[in-house]
Amino acid sequence: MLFHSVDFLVFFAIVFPVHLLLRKTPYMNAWLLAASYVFYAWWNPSYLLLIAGTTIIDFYVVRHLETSSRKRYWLGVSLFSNLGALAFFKYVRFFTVNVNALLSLLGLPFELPVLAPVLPLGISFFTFQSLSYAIDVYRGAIPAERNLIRYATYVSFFPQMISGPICRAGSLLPQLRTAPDVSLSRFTSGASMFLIGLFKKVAIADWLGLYVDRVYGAPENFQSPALIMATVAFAWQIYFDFSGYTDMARGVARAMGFHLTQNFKAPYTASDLGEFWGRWNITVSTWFRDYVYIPLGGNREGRAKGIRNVLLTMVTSGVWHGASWSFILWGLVHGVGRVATRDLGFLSSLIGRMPRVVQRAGVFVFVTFAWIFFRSRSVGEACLIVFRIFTSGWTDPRFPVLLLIPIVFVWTYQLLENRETPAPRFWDRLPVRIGIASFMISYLALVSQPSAQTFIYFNF
Amino acid sequence: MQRDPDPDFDRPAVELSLREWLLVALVVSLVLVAAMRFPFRGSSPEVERDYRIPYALSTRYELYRRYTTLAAAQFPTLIVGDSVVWGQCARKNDTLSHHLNELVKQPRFGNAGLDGMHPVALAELLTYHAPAIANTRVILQFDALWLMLEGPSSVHNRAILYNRPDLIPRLAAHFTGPFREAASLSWSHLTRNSPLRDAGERLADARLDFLAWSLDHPYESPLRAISSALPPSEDSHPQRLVAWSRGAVVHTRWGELSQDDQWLAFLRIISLLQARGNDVLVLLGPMNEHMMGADTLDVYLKIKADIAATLLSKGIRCFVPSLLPSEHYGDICHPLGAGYADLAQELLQKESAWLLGLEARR
Repeated sequence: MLFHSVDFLVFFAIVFPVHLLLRKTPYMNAWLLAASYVFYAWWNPSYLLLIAGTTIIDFYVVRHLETSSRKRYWLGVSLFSNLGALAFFKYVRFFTVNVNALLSLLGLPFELPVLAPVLPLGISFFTFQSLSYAIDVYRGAIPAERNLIRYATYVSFFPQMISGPICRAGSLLPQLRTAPDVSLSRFTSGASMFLIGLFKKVAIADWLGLYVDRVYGAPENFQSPALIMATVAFAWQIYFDFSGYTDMARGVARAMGFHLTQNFKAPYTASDLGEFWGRWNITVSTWFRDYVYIPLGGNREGRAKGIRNVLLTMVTSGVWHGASWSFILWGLVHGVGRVATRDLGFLSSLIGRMPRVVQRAGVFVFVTFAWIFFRSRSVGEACLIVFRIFTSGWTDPRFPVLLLIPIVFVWTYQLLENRETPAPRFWDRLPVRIGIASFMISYLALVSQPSAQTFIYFNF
Repeated sequence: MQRDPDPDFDRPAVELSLREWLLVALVVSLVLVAAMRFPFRGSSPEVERDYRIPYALSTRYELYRRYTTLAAAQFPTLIVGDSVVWGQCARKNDTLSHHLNELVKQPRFGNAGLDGMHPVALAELLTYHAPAIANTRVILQFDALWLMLEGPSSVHNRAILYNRPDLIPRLAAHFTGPFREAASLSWSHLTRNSPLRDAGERLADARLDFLAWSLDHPYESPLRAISSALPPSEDSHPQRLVAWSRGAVVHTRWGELSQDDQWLAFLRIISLLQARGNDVLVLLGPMNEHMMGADTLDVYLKIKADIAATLLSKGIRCFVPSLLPSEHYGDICHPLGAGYADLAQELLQKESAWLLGLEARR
């Protein structure tokens, strides 16, 4: 179910009042779980078997893990169950296609059958959420949950189950143990957050997507300026799309009295790549930091191993995003960029002497360049786009100038918000807030595309 | 516990209290009422001869309503169908309607095709968004692509096929048979017969079309798009204008015709159009049989014959075109411009009396 659909409006109009009635009773979690499963099953009820199955396995396995002397064994079972499902649904096709290509290259007369299961929505997100729970219990950071319904609600809590933010058990489970604080001010604040997310997604991201799809749909037909503008537009499209989803998710949760972790913090104002990852998809970035980079040794075991760990973490992040070589390359590009700017002394000192505005511009250009690999349908297409950017002619990109308005507006807003001495927030004044909110709703009603487009991160 | 790194960013940029929300509701209501009543859209009854709905606006069903209202008044015959009629692999001046108009040397045929309109969706579209297609001649194209159980692309996933929440009753997507009918009826009663329907339609009519338009007119004032009756028919969608490649042969299974949702929906469309006083000619295909594997082709030929026989037995005029030359197809079902020229030629040769309105309407 999409947040920006009438279906969701009806769904929430039913779920919220009942939640209000049940929130102080033992039935709150059962209601939230039922609602979450309906939300998840909206398109394909058979997916429920997967999420319910992995939830039940994890619940009992982690309880054994907590009390058992063979903790590693039970952790292995949990990892196998979660990663096995993820590997099958997300990577089996990629694996078999590449093995077959290798066999063919070697001239061997074998071929594996190519399986292509339909990717269940949000599998990467709820799998990571379950994994973090199992690992945190293994580490002794949190106790194992004793109530299956509560645990299942934690895994499948509908505002964030499909595209995050990935909430750690230590953050969300305690909120499911007590009656949430639902108040009028929280509800209206959540509604405000939802409206902003809706506007980001429907009014801006989907509009930018029209230009991006046109150019990336047939890159061979476009020259350098159009390819550059489409790549810049994609950088903003994916930001508005994903942060819009997060705002809506957090707005819905806030209205219901829950707090979901912040996931974006003006990422295009970052002045180095480390800072960028501290601002972009924060819950996934910190997940990789805590459960991949640090267990690998982080930067504690010398420079060479530190570099290896960064590269491995970033490539793993690429693999998590999608089963394709272009995502792996995207992760590798980021890893190399991070290593070069952090570990190459001359480069990091050179960057350190530059004015902040240049550093920010450099990060934006680098990140935007890397998005080419993320957005392209294959490595070959990404290479074609890079090649054409540098070699094709300079013709009019025919980029709609109106599209620049939201980008410039939001960028300026974020830069002002990020100043060391923030300027007075003129948008806090009542007429400005009323004007902006009225504009957003009127625009959504009268101008934006009425048909719902899915979120980019639904694919992961 | 995971904490937000910066509490300032935890607040929404624009945060409203209940009283402020009520104020916003008042302002928005005034804006919407003004938009519905203010006659900002010019009236230009003349539809461009080769007009087709801009590709990016394929889901703007109120636009389809506006267009078919104008087109039905102007063209004696409307060609209704999916992207094959729209012209997925052709420029707008190279489609079936264009070539027919060229051959008869007058603007008699309007392109009322819409991308992705499989019969289940088309039935809903025509029922609720095209009341003006009445008492006229209709060439209704049937694309056997929708009968394939595994297609050349992911469109054959039913969940994706039915992902038209503004058009297809959502509950119906999960059911078959009588359940689907019941779900459709409930949905209709819930939404389409609600007292808000009129206001919803007026609001939809007031919607501005300049987002997709801005792609083709990047440096022009959006006021130009707002003031026209129809958004300019774009022609720069990155279309595939080259012939299909020999390596891309399709092997697929086909559904049982008599039980297939899409076929049953197509029969409902014919009944609907006839009940509205239309004279219907069904155009079957033209599928690219060169692109089908032998097993797939065998079954397809049988299905094609069954369809033609079924339609004829019901007294419905049906035209089954000859197979076009291989190089005149862009993919499994879309002809290129040259293919449309051939098709128009053959259609006119065999059905000229009906096409030219020389034959009494049935």
